[in-house]
Amino acid sequence: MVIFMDERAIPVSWRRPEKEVLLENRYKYSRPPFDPFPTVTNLINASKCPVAILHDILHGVEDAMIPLGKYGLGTLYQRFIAHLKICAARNDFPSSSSDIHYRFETFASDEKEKTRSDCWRYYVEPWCSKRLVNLSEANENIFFELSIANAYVPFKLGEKTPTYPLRGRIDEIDLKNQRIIERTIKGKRTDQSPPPLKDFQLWLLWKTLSSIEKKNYPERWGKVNFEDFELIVETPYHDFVVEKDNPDLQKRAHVAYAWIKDLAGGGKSEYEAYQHRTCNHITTDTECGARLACFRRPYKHPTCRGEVHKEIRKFYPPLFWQQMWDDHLFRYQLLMLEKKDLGDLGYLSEGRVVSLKDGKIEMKIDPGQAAPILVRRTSSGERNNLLVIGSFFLGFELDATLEEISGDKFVMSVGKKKIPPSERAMILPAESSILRTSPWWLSRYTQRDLFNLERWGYEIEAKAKEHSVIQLLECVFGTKKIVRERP
Amino acid sequence: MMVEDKIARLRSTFDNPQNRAVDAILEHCLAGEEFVFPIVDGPPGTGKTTVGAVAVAEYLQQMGTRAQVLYMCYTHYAASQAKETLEKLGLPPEKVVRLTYEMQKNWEKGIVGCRPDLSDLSSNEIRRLKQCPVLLSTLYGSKRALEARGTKCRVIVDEFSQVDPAMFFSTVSKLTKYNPSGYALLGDPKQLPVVTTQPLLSSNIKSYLDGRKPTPSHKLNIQHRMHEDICAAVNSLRADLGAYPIESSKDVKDRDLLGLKYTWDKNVVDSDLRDILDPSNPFVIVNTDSMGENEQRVFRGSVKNVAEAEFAARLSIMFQNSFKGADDKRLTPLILSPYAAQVNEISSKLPPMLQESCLTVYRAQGREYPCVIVSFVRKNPAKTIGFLDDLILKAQTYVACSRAQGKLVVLLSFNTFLGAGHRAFEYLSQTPKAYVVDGIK
Repeated sequence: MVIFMDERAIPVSWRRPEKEVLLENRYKYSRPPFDPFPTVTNLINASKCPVAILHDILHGVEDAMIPLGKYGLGTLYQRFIAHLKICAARNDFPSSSSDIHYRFETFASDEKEKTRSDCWRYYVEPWCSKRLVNLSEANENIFFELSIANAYVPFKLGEKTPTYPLRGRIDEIDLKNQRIIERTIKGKRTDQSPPPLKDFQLWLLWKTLSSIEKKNYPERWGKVNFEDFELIVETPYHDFVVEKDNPDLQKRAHVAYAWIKDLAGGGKSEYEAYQHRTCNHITTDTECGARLACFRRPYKHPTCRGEVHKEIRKFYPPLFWQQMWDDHLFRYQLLMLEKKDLGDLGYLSEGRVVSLKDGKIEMKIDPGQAAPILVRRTSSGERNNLLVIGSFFLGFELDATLEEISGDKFVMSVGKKKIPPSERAMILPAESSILRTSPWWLSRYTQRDLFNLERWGYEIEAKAKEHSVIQLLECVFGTKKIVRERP
Repeated sequence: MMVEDKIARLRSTFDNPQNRAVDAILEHCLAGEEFVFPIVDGPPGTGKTTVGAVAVAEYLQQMGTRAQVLYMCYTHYAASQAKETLEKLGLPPEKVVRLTYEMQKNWEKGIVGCRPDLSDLSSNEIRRLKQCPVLLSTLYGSKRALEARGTKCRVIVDEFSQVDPAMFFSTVSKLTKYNPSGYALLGDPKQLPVVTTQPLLSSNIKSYLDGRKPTPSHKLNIQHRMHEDICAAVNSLRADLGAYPIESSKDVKDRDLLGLKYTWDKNVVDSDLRDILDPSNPFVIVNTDSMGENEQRVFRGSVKNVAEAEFAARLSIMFQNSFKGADDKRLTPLILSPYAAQVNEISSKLPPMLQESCLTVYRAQGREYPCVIVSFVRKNPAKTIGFLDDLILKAQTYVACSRAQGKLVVLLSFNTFLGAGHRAFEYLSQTPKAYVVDGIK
C-alpha cells in the first residue's frame, strides 16, 4: 500500500548498509550505498518544515526547534534539574526556593550573566514553584541523558509495518515510577497542550526504546517493560501526558523519513523542499529558529554572487555524505555487527569496570581486547575514547580520556557523572579520533560557514571595494585577476 | 642577535624565488584591478615555513604594535612547528600564541587552550590575545584566533595541500567580519593530500583555483635538507607526481650522517647489515623478498608485515648502537610506515627508548630527521599495494622519503612493488646512486 501525503509517497524503503559495507570491505567513496541513520532531532525538523530539514542536512543548521536567542538555555535548564534530582535522591533536599537559587548560581557560574538570569527567571523558578514537593519522588533509579538507538524501529502504516533506523537521547527516565520525561523550556503558563512537536519527539523516543529487544538491554534492566511507561512532556509550568496510540504520529514519522531520504540523495528534492515550505517572508513562523537561514536580503556585492552560490552549493551534498561515511555508518555498525566484528575492525575493546571514583574509571581489559586502544594511542597519539556503559542500543555514552595503563588495568577520566551500575563497558574511538577521515561534526561546521558565506555581502560598492573577502570572491568566482605579486 | 638582524641575515641567504615570495606576502592584497594572492609552492626542505616566518617577522617590524598575523595550519603539529620557527627568528614565545582546544594555559610558553568562543577566558586574557602579534591555530579551530584577533590582521595558511576548497572557503567565511589586509598560502601541492571520501572535495585549494583560472605561484626549488642521493630519490617520486625537480643546496649536497657530525663504529654492526648502515650509502633500498612470510591483514584494512617489522626494529637498534653524535648522544633513527598496524608492530619490537621514534607517515609531515627507515609493508603474490598506488594517497611515499637528511633506508618487497606497473616504485628503484641490498634473511 502506498499513501500519498503532502505529495510525498510513503512508506519509503530504507537502505541499510550491506554486510560488505558494514565490514568496511568496500572502499568508502562518493555517495554512500545506504540511507542516513537519522536522529530524533532530524525527524522533528523534517516534520516541522521540509526546508528546516534541508538546512539541517545540507547547511548544518539544526536549530529550527530552538527559538532565536534561546540557544544554550535548554541545556543549562535540563542539566540543573538533573543535578537537583540527583542531589534529592541522595537525601540532599534543597530547603527553600532561595536555597535552590543559590545552588543554581553556583552550578551555572561558568555561564554568561544573561544566560544565567534568563534561565533562572523564565524556567527554573517556575519549575521549582510547581515541583519542589515532587523532589521527594527522586530516587536512585532515575537516569538522565540516556542514549537509545535501533536500526529497525517499526512504524505502522495501514496493514504494513515498515521499519526505519532511529537514535536519540532521553532527557529523563524513572524506572521506579515508570515514566519517561521530555523536558523543554518551551510552553506558557496558559497552555492546554504540549508545545508543538514535543509530543512527537517524546513518542519517537519511546518508539525507539520499546522496539529494542530485551537481549540488547543493559544486563540489570532485563525485566523492565518500557511499553508500559508513561510519557510526559514537562514544560516549566505543566506536565502533559502523551497518548501513545495516535495514528497521526505514525504518519508524521513516515513523511519525515521520506524527506530525509530524498534530501540526503541530492538532486531535485532541494527544489521540492522549497516548494513545500510551511511559511514565507510575509507569514514567517516567528518561533522557528531557522528563519534567518530562510529569509535574508540579497546583497549587491559580491557581484559574482550567482557563481559563488552555484559553486558552493556543490559542496553541501558531499559534506553530508562524508558525515554519513564517518558517523552514520559507524552507528549502523554498532547496532548491526557482532562485537567480534567490531573488535576486528579496530573499534571495540570491551572491559570490566573495577572501580569508579572521583571521576576516574578503572577498567580491566584482556590483552586480546586491548589492541584497538593501544594502536590508536601508538599510531596517532589518540587518548580520547567514547565509553559506553550499558549497550549500544540503550546506554550511557561518556567521553573518556585514557590516563594510565598498567598491565591489563586502564584508568580513564570520565568527569563526575552519574553512571548506572554495570560491570561491562565498551570503549570506542572518540568522535574526534583522527583515525577517521575527520570528526563528522567539523563537516557540519563547514556546511554552516559556507552557507553563511554565500549569503553574506555588502550593499554599498565603495565598502565592497575595500573589503578583502569580497575582492577575494570576485577574483576566484568573478572576473578580477589574481596575481602572485605586484608587478 | 636582534630580530631585524636575523631577518636581514636570512634574507641575504635566500635565493630569488624565496625573496620574491617574502615581498609578495608583505604586500597589501588590494591592488586596483588585481588581487595579490601569494601562493608559495615549496617542496620538502625548500624553506617554505621559513619564508612564511620571515614574512611574518618582517611584517610585524614594518607595521608596528597594532599589526597581527593569523597563521593557520591544517594540523596542530604544523602549528607548533611554525611557532618554533617564529621563535627561532627571535620573536618571544609569549608573543607567538598557539590557540588549542586542549585545556592548558601557559602564557609564558605561548600556548593557550580555550573554547572556540573564548568564553572561558577572562577579559584580561582576551585583551592579551588581541594585543598578541601572532596567533596560530588550526583551520578548523580558526574561530578562536578570529575571536581574539586585533584590529588589523593578515592571514597565512600553511600546508595547503591538505586544505580542500570547502574548508578554505569556510575559513574565509569566518573572516568576513575582519577584513584582513592580505592572504597567503604556503605548501607543497604534491605532499599529503586532503583526506576525504568525496571526489569533489579531494582537490586542494591550489588545484581548485587553478581549475577556475590560472593562478601563478612562487616556486621554490633549492632544498636545504637532504643529501643529493636522497634528493635524487625524492626527484624520482616527484617525476611520478608530475612535479618539477628540486636541487640540493651546497650546504647539504654531500651531507651524509658523518657530515651531520655522527661517528660510526662499524665493528659493533652485524656483518649482514654493514652495507646498509654505511654512511657512504645515503640512500639504500632493501629487498625484503627473502624475509619471512607475506603481509597480514588486520583491522580496518590496515596491514602488517611481521618479518619486515622485525628487520626495521633490528636496523633501528643497530643504528643507535653504532652511531654517536658530537655530543656523545646516540643516533635515534625514525621509522615510518604508511600503515598504523605496522607502526604498532614495529613499536612492540623496539626497546622503550626507541618506541616514540616510530610513526605513521601522516604524523611525520613537516618534520626532518638525520636518518629515516621506511617500511612499505606490502608483500603478496597478487602484487597489490593498496592505497600506495592511489593517484592521490601515494603522496605518502613521497612524504616518507623526503623526511631524511643524511640517510634513507627503504624496505620493500621487489616481487610485489616492481614489475607490476607501480610507477612511483619503479622510478624509486631506478634512482641513480641507490644502493640496493638483496638476499637479507
